[in-house]
Amino acid sequence: MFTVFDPLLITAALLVMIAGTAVRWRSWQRGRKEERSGDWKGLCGYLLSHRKIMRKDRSGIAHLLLFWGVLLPLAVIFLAQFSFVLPAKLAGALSLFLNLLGAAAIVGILFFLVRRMGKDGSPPEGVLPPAVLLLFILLSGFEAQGVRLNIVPAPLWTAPVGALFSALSPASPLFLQLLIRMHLLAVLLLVATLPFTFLRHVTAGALNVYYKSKGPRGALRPLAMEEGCLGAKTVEDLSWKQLLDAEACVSCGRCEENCPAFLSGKPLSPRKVIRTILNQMATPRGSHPLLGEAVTTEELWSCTTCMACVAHCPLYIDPLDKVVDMRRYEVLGKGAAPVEARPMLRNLELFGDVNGKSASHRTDWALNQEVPLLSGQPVEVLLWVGCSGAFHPAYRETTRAMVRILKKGQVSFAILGKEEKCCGDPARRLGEEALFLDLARENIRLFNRFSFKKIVTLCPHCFNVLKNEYPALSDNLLPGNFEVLHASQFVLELIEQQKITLKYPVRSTAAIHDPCYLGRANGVYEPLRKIAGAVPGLVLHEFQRTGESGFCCGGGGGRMWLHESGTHINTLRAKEIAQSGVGLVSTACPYCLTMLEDGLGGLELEKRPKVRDLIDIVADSLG
Amino acid sequence: MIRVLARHSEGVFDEATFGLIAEARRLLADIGGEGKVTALVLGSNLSPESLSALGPRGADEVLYLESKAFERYRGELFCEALCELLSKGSPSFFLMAESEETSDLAPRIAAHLGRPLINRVVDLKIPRKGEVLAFRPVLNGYVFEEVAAQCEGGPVILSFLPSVLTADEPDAAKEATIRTESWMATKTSGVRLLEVIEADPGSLEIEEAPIVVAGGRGMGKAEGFSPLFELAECLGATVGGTRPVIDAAILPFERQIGQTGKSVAPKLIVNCGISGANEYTAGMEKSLLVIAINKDPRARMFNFADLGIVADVHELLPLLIARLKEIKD
Repeated sequence: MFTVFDPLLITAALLVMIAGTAVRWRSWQRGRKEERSGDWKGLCGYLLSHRKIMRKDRSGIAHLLLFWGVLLPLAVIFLAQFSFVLPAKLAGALSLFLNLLGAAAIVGILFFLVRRMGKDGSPPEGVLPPAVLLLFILLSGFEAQGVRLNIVPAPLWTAPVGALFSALSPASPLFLQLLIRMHLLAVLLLVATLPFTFLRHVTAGALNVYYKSKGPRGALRPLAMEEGCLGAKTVEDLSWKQLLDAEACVSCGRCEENCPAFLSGKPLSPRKVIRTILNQMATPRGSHPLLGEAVTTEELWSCTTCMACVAHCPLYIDPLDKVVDMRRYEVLGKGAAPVEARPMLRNLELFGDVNGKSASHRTDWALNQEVPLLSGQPVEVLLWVGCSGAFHPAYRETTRAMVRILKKGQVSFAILGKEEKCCGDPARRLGEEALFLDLARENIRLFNRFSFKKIVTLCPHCFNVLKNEYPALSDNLLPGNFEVLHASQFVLELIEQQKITLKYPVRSTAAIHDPCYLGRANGVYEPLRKIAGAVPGLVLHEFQRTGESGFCCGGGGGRMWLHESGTHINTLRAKEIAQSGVGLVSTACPYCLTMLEDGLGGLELEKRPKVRDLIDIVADSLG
Repeated sequence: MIRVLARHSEGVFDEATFGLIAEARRLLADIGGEGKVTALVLGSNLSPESLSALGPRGADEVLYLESKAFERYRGELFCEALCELLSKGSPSFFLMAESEETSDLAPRIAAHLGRPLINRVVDLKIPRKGEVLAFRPVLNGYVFEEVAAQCEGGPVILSFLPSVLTADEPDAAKEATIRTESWMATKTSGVRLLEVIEADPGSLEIEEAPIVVAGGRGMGKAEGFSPLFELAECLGATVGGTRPVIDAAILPFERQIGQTGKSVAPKLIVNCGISGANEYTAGMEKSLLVIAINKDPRARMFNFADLGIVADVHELLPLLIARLKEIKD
């Protein structure tokens, strides 16, 4: 059925595709250098399982159907160009299989088309032409089969879908030829236009999955300050991988649907951030406006760095690291940190704590508590108290509760006392990278002076920074001979090893509010639930948005120090809590504790659910 | 010999002036203890009793220059009068406390006399005879710089940040010799005083207001805030609020006190219906005198209060306002 022109046509289509891909390739290769290694296994596993895409059931299944419904028939048609003979039964079975797959692909594409039509907001450009083309390819294929069945009959079971089409088709060989030509032309058109339409995610998305980050999700990328980079002023300040992220985006909107800032009506949309970067990549070098203008500062400072967008992106795109890079430029490049956050940053600089209470008050919480101070003696556990644990009036109680638990479990532990400094998380998330590095290096130097096996932190933000970000610091001060645990992980160990027993009942219906930096950043979900399960009397429920979909309290990313206008994120979460009807919300983060308490307080409920740190609950139940 | 500029409001000297005299005494001891501390007072119609308040604070001598022209601060006249005084008796230092007026006055005098001026001083040292070393914050307080000045040939002018000045306890046994001179301007001034427009406390930046009245969730909804505004008017105070109050759009964001708003340190803050969460107190902890009114006797706000009143604000405030109005009338 091939004509002499076909190889020419196919070559032309391929050449156009390659040229187009090269243009796109250059647009994202203009980013900064970055070391990334690829992962074939990861990519194959990703495609085969479709697990990440199927996180959202219906569109995930539609994608699965379309993916296999296009890929396998394409492979078979390609193989069919070589002459070989299959046993009739096998050929029939293959035909049936392809028939069903094709039908599935039609279902998939129709789902996407219908959804796209019904969806408001801003769908990505270039969706409709390739989708219609794909539908045409599938339908023309079936129609050709239908006509062919009228000319050369075949058993019904080998092509049930084709048979449906045959009922309405003529038995005309000329029409058949026409259909096949059109089918081929449509395929070639699709191939040629691949880099220019929405379908470029086939290549860019696959590449993005291939090069996906293997580091911990909670760790922010280091800033190349020695190269003179102060954050992202233009798209060229982003790395090639960050630009590839934008190239791969299909604008599915899952980031938006899970973004607490977007859901509470703030100007930020992670999707828009990525799309803006994508649009700017197409402009000539140096001609585009600053990212700070295309993406406004209101958008940048709305982010709570909760990582919901990162967790829900089916293509491993990280909108957060772009937001943070732009924040860095705002702060380091322009000196334009938000006004409300400046006193806190200054307190960090002068006093080493967010409250500006200074080192001399850092151990006030431990007054009359007999808390051992780290000295020359090696200990098992270094209890990292953190600024909230040391200064926040409510969270100090949690620190004391932790001390009670450690003493009960006869753990050899100590604190750094007045020498401890802020871990640097609020500074880093607000873009003050230089200040973060100062604090981190001071803390690391301190760690190197003492001998201990584990660091246990109460605050998930400290936990994340100590565990995931300190080891990556370039001067490599950290010996790395200790492990960093969150209090919940360590307390679970104590319970499982029966070093402590939970005896006294805490009678309440409770649910866990997953802190972002414990859950999404570090995958610590189970310990919280296991501990809650071990507390007698506690009946555990789950919130609707829980685990990896857990909803942020609104306090992370330095938002704890920023003014929030409009609907508050903590109010949204508080409403969800109130609707769930639980009597107790258990969390494991000082920010969550304050924000949820405040959110629930603002609702003026008749019976307000209590908000408590899990460590406090454990201490209450301690036998 | 050290001279000190005494600042007063209708004959009432402020704490900074007493602190300045104490500082002058320390400085006098550092340079050998010889000579006198003389307070220079510029004003009109001051009573001898009010001038005698300076003696117990450590002034050896009070020189009161009287003139109708000194009713209000006027740079040219003050400068002329003070330069005349400073050129007599060869004082080695002239001390003043930083204020809007002295920021204008100090450079005038320094330029007029051709003498060194160090402003925003927080600490002093005398490294050797004839030299003074002053410390002052620069770069928004991030670093301190040392500034040296030579004492020969006339007075070194030092302007202190008032926040570092602390007065000594008054010693009633001490008395200063008081001299009164009347003064007439020799030159005609190009500046005429037409009118003095006082700042409206209601429109003051909350960070600059000396008295703040703050309301919290306990004040109720918008209409519940009217006694708060009334109280502020009586006290000449500026109104502030906690975050929920700003969220409810009762006050604009510019009036928010706390972690996500403004940090204030007024001389007096009255907290009405505020429970005192850490996020609020972080913005007002440095206030001088703190009054808290709250129904809940266990409210955390009381930990910060110099005066705590357990009462319903809506019962207490009308009484308080009525009493304040009575006193005013």
